[in-house]
Amino acid sequence: MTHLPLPLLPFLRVLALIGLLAGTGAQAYLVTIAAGTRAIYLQVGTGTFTGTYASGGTPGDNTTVNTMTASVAAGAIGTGAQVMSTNSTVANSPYDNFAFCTPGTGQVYVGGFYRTPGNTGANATLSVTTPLNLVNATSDTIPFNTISWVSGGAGDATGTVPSGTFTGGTTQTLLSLARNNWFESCLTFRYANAQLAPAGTFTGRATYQLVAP
Amino acid sequence: MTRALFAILWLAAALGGTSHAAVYRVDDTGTVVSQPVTPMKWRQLVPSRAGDNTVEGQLNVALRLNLSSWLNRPARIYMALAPTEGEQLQATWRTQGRLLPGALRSGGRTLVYDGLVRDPFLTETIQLSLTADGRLLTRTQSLQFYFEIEVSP
Repeated sequence: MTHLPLPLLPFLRVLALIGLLAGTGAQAYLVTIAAGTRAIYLQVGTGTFTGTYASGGTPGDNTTVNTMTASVAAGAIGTGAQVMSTNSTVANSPYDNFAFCTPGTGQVYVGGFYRTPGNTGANATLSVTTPLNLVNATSDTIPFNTISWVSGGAGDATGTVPSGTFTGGTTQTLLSLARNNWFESCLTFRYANAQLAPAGTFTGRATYQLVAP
Repeated sequence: MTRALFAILWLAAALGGTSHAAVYRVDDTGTVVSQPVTPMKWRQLVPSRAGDNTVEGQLNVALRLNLSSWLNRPARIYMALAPTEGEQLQATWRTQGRLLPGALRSGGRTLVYDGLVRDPFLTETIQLSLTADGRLLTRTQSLQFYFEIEVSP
């Protein structure tokens, strides 16, 4: 009896399989897909958000610059902190329309998101830049570092954006925002009012930035 | 003699494997994809607190499967998606009725036809929907879809 060498059998089966495959014109169709787009959004005070996140809303541009105001009566100058009022009317979060801030008490909504493909890499950074001083019409000054803020928001035990004080004359980092996240806080600003200051209207602009790498 | 018997039994078992349905790749030459690159869009442009990071895309595919080798034979046809690099991608599709609608993940296959092969060419347009975790899909990728046919000997 002639035996077929056993190790040869798998080889023959492989040959047979190749023969079967070669009998047809094997093909495939290709679908090329591109990654999701990057997006970043920051809202400080008044903003534009069509709908809400929950309803599939989309953010838009808004050039409004809101004001924070402390009016100190002559007899109260240097007598202690004054809560600043705001002309921002944003009370509800554009995320879900939740009544988050109370602008009537001076709270300013600050929120945004950073959307990007990928699971690693640097976070986005929220920062604020202020001049050294607030200035009046006759060039008298009040240091910007006399203004501080307390962070909060309805339902938040601690504010997402930490409470702090403007350093003045520089850019200070407020928050490191992980990718694909939303953040929001309500900031209540206070003027320290611990010094004598000449009469007048003192102004200065704080510019917030959310920057992605 | 015992050794010879064992060899015969082994050979019978080995050849017995070929009595199962044979599987062939189907020639889909002539299949047309509706767009060269499908942009995957965030299901929610704004990231959610719950972490919905799904991206999705849709396209139409005009299929043309050459079944002439299996005419008048009972067959099962599967659509398959080759494994993708790192990313688990899900595809679902709707059809016009000649093939079955279904879903599959990369590296898998799904039955789209079970019956007699009646025509040498099967044409069908499917609406393909793709979803993936947008955090893991970081660059352009080519997905390789193909068809397998199982026919009994």
